[in-house]
Amino acid sequence: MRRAVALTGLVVALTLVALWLGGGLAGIERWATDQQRAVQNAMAGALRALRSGQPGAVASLLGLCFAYGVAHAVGPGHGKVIIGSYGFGAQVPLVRLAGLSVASSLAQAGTAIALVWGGITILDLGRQTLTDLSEVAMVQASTVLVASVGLWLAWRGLSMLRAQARADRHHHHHHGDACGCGHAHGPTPQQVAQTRSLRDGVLVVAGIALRPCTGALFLLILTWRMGIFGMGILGTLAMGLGTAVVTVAVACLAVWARRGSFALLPEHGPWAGAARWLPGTLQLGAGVLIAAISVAVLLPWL
Amino acid sequence: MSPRVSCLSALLIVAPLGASAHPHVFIDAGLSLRHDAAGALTHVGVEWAYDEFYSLLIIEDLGLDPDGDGVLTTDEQAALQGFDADWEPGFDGRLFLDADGRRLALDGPQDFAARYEDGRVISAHVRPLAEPLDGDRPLTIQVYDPEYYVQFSIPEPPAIARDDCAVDLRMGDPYAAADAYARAVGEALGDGQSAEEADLITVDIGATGADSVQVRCGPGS
Repeated sequence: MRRAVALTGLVVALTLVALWLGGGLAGIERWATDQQRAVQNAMAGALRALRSGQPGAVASLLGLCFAYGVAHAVGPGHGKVIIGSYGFGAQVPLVRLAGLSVASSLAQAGTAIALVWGGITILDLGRQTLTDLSEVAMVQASTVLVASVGLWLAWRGLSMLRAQARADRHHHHHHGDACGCGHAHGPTPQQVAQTRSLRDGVLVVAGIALRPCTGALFLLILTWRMGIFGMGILGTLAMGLGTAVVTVAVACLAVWARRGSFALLPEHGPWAGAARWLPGTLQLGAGVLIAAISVAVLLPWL
Repeated sequence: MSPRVSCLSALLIVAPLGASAHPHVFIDAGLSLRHDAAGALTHVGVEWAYDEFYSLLIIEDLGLDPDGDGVLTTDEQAALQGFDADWEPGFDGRLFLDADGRRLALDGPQDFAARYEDGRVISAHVRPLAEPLDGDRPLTIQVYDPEYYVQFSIPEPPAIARDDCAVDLRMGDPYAAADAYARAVGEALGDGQSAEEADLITVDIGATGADSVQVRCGPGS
């Protein structure tokens, strides 16, 4: 039963990825874009109401920002690719991955706030310069960082496979039970998989956060000019939480699908041994995928 | 996996990321076709109605309408003029005209005028055709941003002074872009192109999914 549930996760995830790559989600993306447009217009209304001092405008602005975050996140984006590949490729407990999703969405909001605040007060940048900076320079920096997350995962996957190979060789030359042979064993695949989780987390959060959402920049610049920057900050954080709803869903799906791919392998029989190689292979694959996407995104700029 | 196939699969993965990133600005485009006395098309009038959010950003960025009543004073009205008139050299103006499968050359914009109405900034300009087009030739007009930073739509058919024209306004097909991309990849695979060539597959995603207007004028329209 448990195995069937896990396999379902893999099937659901593969179906979604295949639909996405094949363009089958275009209709949903179009729908999300229409929602974004409607929410964006309503946000303008709430901001105008806020300026004219209407009660209730604060709550409606924050609600709309949250909705904007959700609608905006339904489209394709780097955050979902990172969280999804990381959750599928690496052994991350769901709670931790969900925490990372929320943290990176909020950190992304923080980047937008810092960028606009610093850009206007310290560097005295205009709207065009600020958005260009975010659209080009920060996108590049973020992509480089995301590529390094990929390479880091791939390298770890490779280490896990090597550790597994070592363990297998070791197994074959048969020590006695009380071997006491004194030579150091390499780290087991499990050890490799479990360590360095903090470094992982920092890389994942930073890779996502370094690329702020342009909609948040618009809101922040707008509220700065209107003299209600505090509202802009709250709104941006609400957008971040909205985005997190979608990335947390991706995180759940990724972990579920990972269990599914382990459930694919039988527990007994000649294929059971392959399960030991699976963690390393998945991690290597996910890392290579992230790195390849990042490099391809960067290519036009090189 | 051969290098060629892996390149193509990388392309497939990247396509949805790069091509259909989110739009941030929404613009409703209004068009008008202007013919000379002989019935040849000489100018296209373009009106961009920005979405309310971006409009508010423009207004606040220019420091206009401080009382927030949505009405600009004469001075503020003057300050708004030409806010989006500073086009980079070679900017296409996101306006694309085709006749007989050939893209028509357009001259730079003129006669900019902007106003603020019901919370929306509306900016108008005129694009002359480099050469007048025989007004009876079937014409296709599209307005789109190939980078998809702006999502354009054409809510209304263009205004035409001639009274012998038939206009067909078609809403963009959200699936068209993905289909076009799949077709291009399929063709590239079928052609036996090298991996380097396959890397260069480009699909004008904006065009395939954009609203388009077909205009036929003259006898038989």
